Amino acid sequence: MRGFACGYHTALIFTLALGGAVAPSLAGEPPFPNELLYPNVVPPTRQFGTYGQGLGAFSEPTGACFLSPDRLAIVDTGNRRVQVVSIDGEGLYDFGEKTEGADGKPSSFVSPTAIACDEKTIAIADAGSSEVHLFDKAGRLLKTLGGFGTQAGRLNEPSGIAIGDDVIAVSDTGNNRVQVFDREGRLKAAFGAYGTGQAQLNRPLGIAVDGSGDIYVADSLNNRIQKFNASGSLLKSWGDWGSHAGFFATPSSVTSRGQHVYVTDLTNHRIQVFDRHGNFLFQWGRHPVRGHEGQGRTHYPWALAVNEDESKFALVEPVENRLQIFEKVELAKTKNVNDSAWWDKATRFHYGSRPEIGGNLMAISEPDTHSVLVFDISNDVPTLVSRLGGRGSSLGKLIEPSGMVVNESKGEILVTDAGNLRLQTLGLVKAPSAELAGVSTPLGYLTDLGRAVKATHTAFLGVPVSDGKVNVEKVEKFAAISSARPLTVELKSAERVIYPGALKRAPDGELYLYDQGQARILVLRDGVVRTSFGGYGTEPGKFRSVHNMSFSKDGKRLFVVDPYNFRVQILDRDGIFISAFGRPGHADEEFSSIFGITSGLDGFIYITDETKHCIYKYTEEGKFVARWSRWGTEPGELYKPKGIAQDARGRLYLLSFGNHRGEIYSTEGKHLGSFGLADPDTSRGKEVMEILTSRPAYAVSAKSMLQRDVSSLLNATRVSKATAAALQMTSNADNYVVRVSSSQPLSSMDATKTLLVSVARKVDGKPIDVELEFSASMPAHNHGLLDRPQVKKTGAGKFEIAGVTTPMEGLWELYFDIHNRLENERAQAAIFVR
Amino acid sequence: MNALKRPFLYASVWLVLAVFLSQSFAGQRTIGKEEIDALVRLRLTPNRNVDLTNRLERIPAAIDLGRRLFFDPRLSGNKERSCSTCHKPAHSFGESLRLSPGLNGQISRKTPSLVGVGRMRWFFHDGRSDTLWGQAAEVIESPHEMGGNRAAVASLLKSEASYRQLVSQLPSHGATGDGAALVTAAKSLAAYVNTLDFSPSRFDRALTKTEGRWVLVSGVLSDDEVAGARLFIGRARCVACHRGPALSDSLFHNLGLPVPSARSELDPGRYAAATGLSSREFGGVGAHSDDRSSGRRKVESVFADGSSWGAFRTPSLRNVGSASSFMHDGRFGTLEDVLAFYSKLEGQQVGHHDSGLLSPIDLSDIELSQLASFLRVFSEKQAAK
Repeated sequence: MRGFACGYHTALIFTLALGGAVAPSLAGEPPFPNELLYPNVVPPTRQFGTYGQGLGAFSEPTGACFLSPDRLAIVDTGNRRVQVVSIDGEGLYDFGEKTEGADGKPSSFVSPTAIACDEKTIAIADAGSSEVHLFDKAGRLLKTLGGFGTQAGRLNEPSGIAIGDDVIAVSDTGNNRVQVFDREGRLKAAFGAYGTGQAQLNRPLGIAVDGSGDIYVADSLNNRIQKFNASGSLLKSWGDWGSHAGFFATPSSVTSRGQHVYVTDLTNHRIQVFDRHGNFLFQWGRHPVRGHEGQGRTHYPWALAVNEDESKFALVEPVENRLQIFEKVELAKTKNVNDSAWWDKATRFHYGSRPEIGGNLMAISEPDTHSVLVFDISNDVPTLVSRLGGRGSSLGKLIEPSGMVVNESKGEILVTDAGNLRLQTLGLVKAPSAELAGVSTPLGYLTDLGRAVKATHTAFLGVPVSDGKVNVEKVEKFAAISSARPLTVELKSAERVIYPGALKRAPDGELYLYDQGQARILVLRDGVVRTSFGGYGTEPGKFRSVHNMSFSKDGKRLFVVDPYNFRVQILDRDGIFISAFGRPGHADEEFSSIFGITSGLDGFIYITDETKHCIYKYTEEGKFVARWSRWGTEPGELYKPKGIAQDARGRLYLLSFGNHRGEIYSTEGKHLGSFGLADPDTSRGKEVMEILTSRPAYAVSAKSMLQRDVSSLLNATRVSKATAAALQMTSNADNYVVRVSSSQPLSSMDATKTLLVSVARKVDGKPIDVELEFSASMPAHNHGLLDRPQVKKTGAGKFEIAGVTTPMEGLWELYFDIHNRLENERAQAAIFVR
Repeated sequence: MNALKRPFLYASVWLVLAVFLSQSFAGQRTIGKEEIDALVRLRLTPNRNVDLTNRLERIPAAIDLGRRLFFDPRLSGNKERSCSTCHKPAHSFGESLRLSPGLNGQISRKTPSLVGVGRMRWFFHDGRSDTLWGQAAEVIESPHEMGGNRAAVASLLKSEASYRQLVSQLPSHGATGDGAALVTAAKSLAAYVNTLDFSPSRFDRALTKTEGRWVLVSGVLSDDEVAGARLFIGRARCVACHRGPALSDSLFHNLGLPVPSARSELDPGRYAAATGLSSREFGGVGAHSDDRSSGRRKVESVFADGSSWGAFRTPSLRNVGSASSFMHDGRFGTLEDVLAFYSKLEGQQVGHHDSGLLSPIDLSDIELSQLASFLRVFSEKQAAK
């Protein structure tokens, strides 16, 4: 194998069936010699938990706190309860079925996600009802705060809670802010807003309050911890995306005890410990090598409970339905030998939220790595063709991709780039292998020349909406860039920002987009909002959240997965309620946490349930037909199934997140096979690993890919010194013409170049007042510019870019990203530097 | 000679000549024009770098002063170490040991050779100094390296007659405050070190231009060395980073070197250095700089993000044949060890969400020795001037 840290690990890893052994192996008998060099795998003193509904069993637990030195209160999300267990895992009792909503009406926990407790109070955040419940130690309800909304005191899917001396601090995740209440529930402070800058937040999850009253927030999509004082002034911020000490990959929780700050570094699969100033102290935990093994191997560690004197730590792993208890004595033996989180994990698929199919193309979003995988599904076994995205905010990069629409004939994938608050179109480029001889192109994490490149177009979202009516503001003149697209609505206020999520295209081309900020669905036609409907609630036609949508075969009805209302709603194209089906529970026709949905081909609806680990089949009228599969790791069994899609042949593809693979079923529920990394010993599995790991790569051309081919790009490559001082290109969505002249030959490796750029509208050649961002990359080497150039605007559509250096020989792509404040479009050129 | 024999004689002469010539050209017989062009780009050309932030860079008095100071142990705290203690002239102004002993134990990063350092853009392995004079100033005051201080430097420049005299010949420059003497010393040291440049090597003599075309001169490089050269610019792709006359792009890359088990911490390299650039006291942006705007442009061009974690400066390969150790921490003792790493990438460590920079080049044993032979062609002994 090539290019991987594991080296001699890899052969061993491939002989283990993924997900085979559910029973844990002991970290005390490491199979790999390198274990002894990197003792960050600390054996727990206790480990307990398995999937189930009774006492002592769990369904995606997401939080815990020490009620007493030997008792833990655990948020058992999928079972909609808090379960109190002994430190040995013996289930004692649970509660949550009888509580009260913020409106004073009797209710139950919907999707409790975080817990905090001290001597007087147990506080629970419920993302499903957007409420916070305060109980006393005896379990009597004291108060319920929140309820869905953006106003002060209201919440949107809160996912973190902490108790201080006189405060209850809530991570108001969906509103990208923190709200601080006193113990009586009165609001004391609210701070934060969406963004990547100082004191801004992008999906805050865990929260903690230290002994001085300062507040720490796990700012998950900004991959950092931010520390504020009680009134919300920023004191410190630390962390960035990465896997070394002090770097994070989606930190999910933060806990403060004494002088320590503990962070569960979710997709680095480890816990990092800092002092109160953000200085890294030590870490422990590593991704499992054998599926589900535990014993110090930590898999998506979501939350950590720490007792009073920091002698015991309870780590909660929702995907494993388990807790591991560590003790200080063992942790103290942890040596910082290798602070990188990653050296021994071989596989790279993190089957993420959704598959989406268009013709013979299937796109799968992979939020862990902020990418979209593209497969050719024209054969029985899906063939991995490309990986798009990778984490970032420039065009072509993604943060938390969620919904997608695949347009095979145009070769485009429209992605909800949720963490960047935008929709992005990525265009695919055909790559006949023969033409790529001599141009090495890795199948890596970034877009690459061979298979998929053009970040065509991004629309930023922020359409003002009030009271169910679309309020279209004045048309900005610069946005009339194309006769085909008159979109021009300006973002007015932060309250009205759209938080895009699930996305689906109706058979007639309209786009249905879920806005998590307002709990409503927007209907877009040609980029303009035609109508919107929904709003938060439990009544027919209202939503608590929408995880996915699909259309009926005749295109007239919309099916909406409304998981926190435990139902699928059937609506017409304007959102008028027709009917709904489903109720909470564990019987066949009852729902626990429904997620994926697909329909439109054969008159049936197929739905996945993440915490019942099954697939449901219903008629389009909402009549139950069947339930398939059950929790497990064997072929045909499911482990946290996520999105589902159906191809033209009727085959159902779904992602089994906990088994790190995809599954294919027939419409009768017959398991047809697995894909991804189900069975590394097969030649297909090996081939896939070759694609992922070998360089120079492997150019696969998917039969069904589209018009634009790479030859025009390749023709641009060999630019001779004499002529390479000027370029002209059309932008990727055909709206602009960009002309570039350079002070030095563009193909020169040594010269530092100054570029003069002019941007004009393609339709009439007139210069246009836009903003420009410049970057460049070598697709073959996965890196961008090594020095940052300076872009200066010199007139309408005119720019000077100084300090452009392309110091490596080979194929470079130059990217000119044109913003008109609402949309961002890329023009690009390829240059061979020598 | 009869008519029949003469042509035969000529033919045999030509045959012998042809055989002789073909043997000489054996290595270059198949080398193409593009390869020659690539090799030409490695030829030593004059160093055109100018450090606008150091007005003393080319002043003869400063060079003279710098040369004397370079060998003066009174610059150090204990008066026992000079720059030449670690930057030994007989070792291409580098270290003869694997790592240099410091004032508090071994210095953790290898002492780089100073020959040709004026061609670099950034200084120290992590590039934390944007100027050569800034590097000198920092080392003089470093408690691990020379343990000196600016007050002692000031009194040294005043007390020593020859120094006083040289300083009086220097033009004014941006040194201010209590650091003025240290900066004067540092800029002079930089002026001197800037004169320590590469000498043409046998490689440079192996290429010549005839009738407007570059050719490889026969007999200068052996067949193995030519084979190594073609690997360097070809399949082994060394030239991607070790390019230009200095055989270094003066940029920063993380090779994913495996972490030795005895270490307690990984070295963040460029990442840690990049964030402090604009606040350096002795730097292009600071008060002592002679051109703050060029200093600022340079510092602002740096991406200080996680992608530079563990990245170190590409060293020049022109003195690699005489180096005692290799990589930023001196972990490899021989050139062959380095090439073996690049060949197989054994133990390469890449972050899970990243792709590594390198792919294994899978050299055969013969190829490895050919590449090593080629690299050794550049080395030379640089005597103190």
